[in-house]
Amino acid sequence: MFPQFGATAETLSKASTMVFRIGTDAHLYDDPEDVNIAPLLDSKFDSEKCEALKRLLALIAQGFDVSNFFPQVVKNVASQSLDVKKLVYLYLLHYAEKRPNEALLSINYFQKDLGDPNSLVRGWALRTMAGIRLHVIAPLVLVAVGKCARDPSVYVRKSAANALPKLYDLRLEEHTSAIEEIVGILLNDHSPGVLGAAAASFASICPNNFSLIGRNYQRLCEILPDVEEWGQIVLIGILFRFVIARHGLVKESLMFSLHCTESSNSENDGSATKISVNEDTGYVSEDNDFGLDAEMSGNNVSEFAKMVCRCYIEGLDEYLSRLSYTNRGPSELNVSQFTSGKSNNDVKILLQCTSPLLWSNNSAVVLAAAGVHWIMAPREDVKRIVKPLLFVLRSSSSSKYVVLCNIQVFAKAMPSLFAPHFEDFFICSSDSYQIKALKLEILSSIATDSSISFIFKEFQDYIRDPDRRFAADTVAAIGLCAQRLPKMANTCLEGLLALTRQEFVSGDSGSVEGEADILIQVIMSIKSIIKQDPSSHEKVIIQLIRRLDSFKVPAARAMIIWMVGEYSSLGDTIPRMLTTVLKYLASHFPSEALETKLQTLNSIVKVLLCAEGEDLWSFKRVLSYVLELAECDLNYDVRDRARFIKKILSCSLGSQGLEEEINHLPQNKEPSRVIAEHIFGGQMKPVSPEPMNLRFYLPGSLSQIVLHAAPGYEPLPKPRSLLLDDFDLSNVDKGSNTLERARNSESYDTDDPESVSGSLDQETASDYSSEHSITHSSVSGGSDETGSVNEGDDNDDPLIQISDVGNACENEKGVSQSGSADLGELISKRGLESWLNDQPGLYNMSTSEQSQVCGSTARISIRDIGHRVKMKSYTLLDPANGNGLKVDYSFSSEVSTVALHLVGVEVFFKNCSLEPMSDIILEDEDSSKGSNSADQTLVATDSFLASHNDAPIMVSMEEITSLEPGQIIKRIIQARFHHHLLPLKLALFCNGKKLPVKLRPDIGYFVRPLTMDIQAFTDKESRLRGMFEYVRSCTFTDHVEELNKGKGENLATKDNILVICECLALKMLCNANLFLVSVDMPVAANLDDASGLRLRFSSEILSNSIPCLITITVEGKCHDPLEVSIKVNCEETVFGLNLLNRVVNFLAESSGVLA
Amino acid sequence: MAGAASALFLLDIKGHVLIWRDYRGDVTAAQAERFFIKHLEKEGDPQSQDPVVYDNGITYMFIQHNNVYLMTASRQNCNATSLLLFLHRLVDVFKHYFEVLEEESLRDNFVVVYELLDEVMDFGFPQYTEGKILSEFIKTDAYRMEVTQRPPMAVTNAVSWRSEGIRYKKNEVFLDVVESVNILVNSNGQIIRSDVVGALKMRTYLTGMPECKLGLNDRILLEAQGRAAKGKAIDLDDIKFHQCVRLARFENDRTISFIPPDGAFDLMTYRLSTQVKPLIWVEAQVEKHSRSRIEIMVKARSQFKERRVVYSVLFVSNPLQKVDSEVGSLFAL
Repeated sequence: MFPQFGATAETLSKASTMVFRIGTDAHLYDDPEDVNIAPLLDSKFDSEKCEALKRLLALIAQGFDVSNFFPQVVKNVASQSLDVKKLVYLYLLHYAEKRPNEALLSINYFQKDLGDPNSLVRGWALRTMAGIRLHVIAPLVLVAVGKCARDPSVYVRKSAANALPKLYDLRLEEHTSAIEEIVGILLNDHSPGVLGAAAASFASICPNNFSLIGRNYQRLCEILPDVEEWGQIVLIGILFRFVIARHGLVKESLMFSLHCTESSNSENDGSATKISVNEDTGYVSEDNDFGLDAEMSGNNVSEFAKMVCRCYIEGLDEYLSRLSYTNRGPSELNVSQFTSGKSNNDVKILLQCTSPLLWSNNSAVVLAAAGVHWIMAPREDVKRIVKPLLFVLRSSSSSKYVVLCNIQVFAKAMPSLFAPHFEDFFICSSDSYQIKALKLEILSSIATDSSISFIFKEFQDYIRDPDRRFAADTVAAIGLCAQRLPKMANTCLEGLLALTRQEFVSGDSGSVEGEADILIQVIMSIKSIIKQDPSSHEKVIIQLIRRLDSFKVPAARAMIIWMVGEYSSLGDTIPRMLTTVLKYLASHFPSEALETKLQTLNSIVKVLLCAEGEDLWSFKRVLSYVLELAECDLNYDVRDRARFIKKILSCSLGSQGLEEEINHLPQNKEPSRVIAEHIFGGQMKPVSPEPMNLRFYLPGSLSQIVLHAAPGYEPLPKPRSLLLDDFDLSNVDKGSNTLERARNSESYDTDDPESVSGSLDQETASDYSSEHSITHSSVSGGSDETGSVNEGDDNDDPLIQISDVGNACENEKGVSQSGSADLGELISKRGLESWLNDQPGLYNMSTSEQSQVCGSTARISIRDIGHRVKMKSYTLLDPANGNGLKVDYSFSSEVSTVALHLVGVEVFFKNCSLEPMSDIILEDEDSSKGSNSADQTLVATDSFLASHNDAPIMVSMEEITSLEPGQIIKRIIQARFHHHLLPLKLALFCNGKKLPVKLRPDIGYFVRPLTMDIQAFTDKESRLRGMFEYVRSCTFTDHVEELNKGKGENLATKDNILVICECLALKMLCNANLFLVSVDMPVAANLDDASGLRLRFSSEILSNSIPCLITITVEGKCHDPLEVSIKVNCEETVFGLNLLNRVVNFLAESSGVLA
Repeated sequence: MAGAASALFLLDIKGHVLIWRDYRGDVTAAQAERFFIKHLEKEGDPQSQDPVVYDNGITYMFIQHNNVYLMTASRQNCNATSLLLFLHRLVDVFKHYFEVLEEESLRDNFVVVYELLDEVMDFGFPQYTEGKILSEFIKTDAYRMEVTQRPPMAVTNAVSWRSEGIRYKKNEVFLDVVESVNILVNSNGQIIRSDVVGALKMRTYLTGMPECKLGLNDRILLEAQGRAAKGKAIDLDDIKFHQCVRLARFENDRTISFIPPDGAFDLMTYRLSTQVKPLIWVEAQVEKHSRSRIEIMVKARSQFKERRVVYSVLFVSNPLQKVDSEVGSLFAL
């Protein structure tokens, strides 16, 4: 008791001295250990505890380890005083990881605080609890977060949203779904304060779980301006990514114009230079249909912009890899990835909600909003972002730098945007060097013919800047400007030449090094300008050569000497000067610097190789003189070069007699001379585009500034990668929340069909233009699939894509190959592995043999299937009813070339009568509108076909002008069924008579094969459990006959199970348009037991590309009728159920269809 | 996009950590300190540095204020603009609390700094950065005895910049327009660019949750209302509004409506790029008389109306580099 009392007394006296220093804790920071902290912590008085804790904090700040106080501090968590609590929290967070056991002691107090009536206490408790990075308490925190997410207080809910990323950061795999669920709850919150934090947690936990956003999209957009500014930044990014994933890029936007044909846009001024197809770069094919955009004044620029867009979406690697494709595929891909900004509500809303944010006070918000507009807004609206961005430039210098980094990319991709505002990029003396450099770069890329004179005036001042590094940059910028604007080249050259004189005059005073740099830069700029059009700048070259003596800087000299060699045969004057120049060079050779020496040698050889007649003789003498000097040079590089040249040109140098020989006949050229010409004569190459900085990242991201993908950087999601109905369904499921939300989601749904139909129209359009339906199907399939099967985007190989396991006779070849290869590989791998694992030792021999057999026979059997798949044919018109015309039809497995949702039907017309028939045509029964309306109502209830109401019912077939008796003519029609069960009423015209017929749909052909591997299949399947899964079973007997047939013929190699599997597969493929994913062999000792045989088929629904998976599992003995259970996994539940019924029906149907 | 700061550092002028707050636990203070000191040594003049530096997997962003560096470190791709702006806001918050932000004031108030750092950023995500709001639940006074401390209504409210229950006997609103003129003149004395950056500074002492509206002679608004611009109408397009202005409303019908924060704030800032005559025209003539003597003639001419008087004109003369070097050489002799 006493020592404690003493301590208190001591602190009391201390406290009295403290009165004079009220309000500052400086003394605590300066000497935190001047009192004993431990007793203070145990004090009864909150103020003393506070002081002790402050001392501890001071020690922490100064880097001391005070974790030994942990137990004592933790005890104080129970304190009622908020001050003490807060300080304890701070301490706890700092040391909890180091002292996990003691930290656990505090949990109870946290739990208690979570029930505190004061919301501040609850919020702090949750925040601190989540901040303790201990796995042990994570489940507790999760429960607490879940509770707090429904707290009445906004502050607490916000804390809950903030706590989620902390939890997620602990990598709790088993809780991920629970965490995501809470994110969903919080995103539903109506308070903007919570939404900001919820957006941040969404972005860091599940940035690609767009279904959470889809449900709330419109509401989130509306509330966006009210969210606190930091949340706005994150939320804009999320909404933006969602729209890209859902609808793709916008057709009217800048990004689109960079890809697609749109040659007639004259609303933008600017000098349009025709883009010449650049042979070197391999863009040839794309350039053909590449819009010659008026804004793009030069090849480099447009390519630059295209690249920017590409990099945004897919990152650099993919972009480069796609360049290898030379077919029209890539550009088609783009078309299907775009949506129309005018008809798409989601895009419109996003743009509407972000545009006021351009006036925000927060520069990061402005930049984020500008980024959205940059990529999404119609081109004529992009200029909205210009002024806000320029205004942001007025803020602090550090954000100025960041904004300039972004403007730089914008300006390069679309110079016209910033061109009128060039004055804003003029340099102020207070700018830092980085900012100056960025501004220069922007200026040189936005200069136009009208502004260039002003810009040059500025540049002239910049050259006089005391910062010589900056002056050199300016010179380089002048060079760039001249290259961009060929008209200005002469003016630039004059200016630069003047500069060389001036520099030289003032070169002896001031910092010599800086001046030299500038001179080098000047010559380099001149060089690059001349390169563009050497013949018109002949005089400049002459001038430079004349004044060669006055240039002292070795690098500059070397460059001029290079020009001598390069342009030695240009015009009339230069060749006449050459002799003198070479002599001059030779005489100065010993005193030159290394690089100049090397360049001199090169140039003389170049001159020599081009020379003719009497000059040659003198040149040779010069060369041999120089070579002699060079061979005795101190530097080994020069010596080596000399020897090398000597060797190569030995013959032409050796004796004068050879002269004739050289001039003799070109074909007699010696190899060494040819080599020499190749090495030195590679002049006059076309100007290759500047190696561009290939790194572009999304506007506003850190990666754009440090120019590498920082960890966590993600490009935009794949356009339209989000399945359309991915969340519409869930929308319906969970639509039973609050009234308000229901209304929102409803209104959202109503918007939907419109956008869907719009987008589908686009796909159709792209289809029409594509001559190659296969490429297209692969492309669109690929883009659709990425959303559903994340790993499945590597199937852009058309060969695999068309492999609908070959029920299409035409594709037999490719199909059987790919299909069999797939199957063989799968079987050998899966079969062998499972076999070896399950039965080691005993069955080793036989099994390996077995599996081999499996592999090989499987291959055969599948190819057989390709042949044997036969379409079931139905009668459309009986000869009895049709005056002797017999019409049969069967469904075709080919994917329609016109539109995705059309079903191909092969119709066979046979004339059974004795007279020829004429004018046979099958048409949509137009007059039957009345009966259609009944279907329409059905359609409305069935969302699956709802979006195609406006499409034609049938692509009309080619008319059969005449049909001879006994003749059979095949026609393929493509029909759109209103419903997958109801027949389509058509009218058949024959000999001028109209016969009503009914085309009965087969649901098996409302799907198309969807190529995927087993992994993708199981992955997908696991996501479609519960209400999306239907199972039915039936008895399958077809194989019995097949096996009995096999018995007689003694097919020892043919495995019973294989026969069954073949039968089943055949039956399935004959009746439905599916893709056989895998066949799992039963792993049992008994060869007669077929139990466990499992076939997997995949397909996607024609109309909406929703995947539909079918798994067939077999039970029973091989020779008995088998019990088959069929499982369908499909999001479109009605469709799935109907398909299941159909499959059960035809499987149970006894054979007879099979040959 | 999902990027957040890992830690926040307050460093002294030599690059030593004064106070730091760890948010995600993947960057240590020692690491950051080492980097920063190295960085300071490498780059001579800290003013002209790149504010974003990547080093060994960590990206550092920093700004300088007086003799303090504020720096964030991050291992992820984060929004650079927002973090830099956040640092600036942090400076404002500190200034709001301690009047001046410098090493000494940080030391003096380190506990409050800790509390603030805890509140302004959570797990690397910026939170409330309004000094006024923060000061309602983080008090500087060590001897306050408040019975109930609750989160201010502002935090829990949709209107995060104003607390409820504010009462004044006398309701007052002050509106100041402060404009600054920026002129860029080239060496020939020609004006290349001139613009006006102005701010509407308000001070409000109003009761309750008042909804205010500000009418301006906005050309678009006037034209929309069918009133031909009688006097001068202005184009309001290059503007920035305080958070409190309902941007969506302005977008729709061009009315500036807002619930003002209590006290002083900048309602709106704008920029006009019009031809402005500089108020005072200064011409300087430099004459070199000998190696040691330079004559600089500065002529200042006022260009504003006669009846106005300007106070406190300040000339700042920058010693030219050339003078420097020549004086240097003189002394060497």
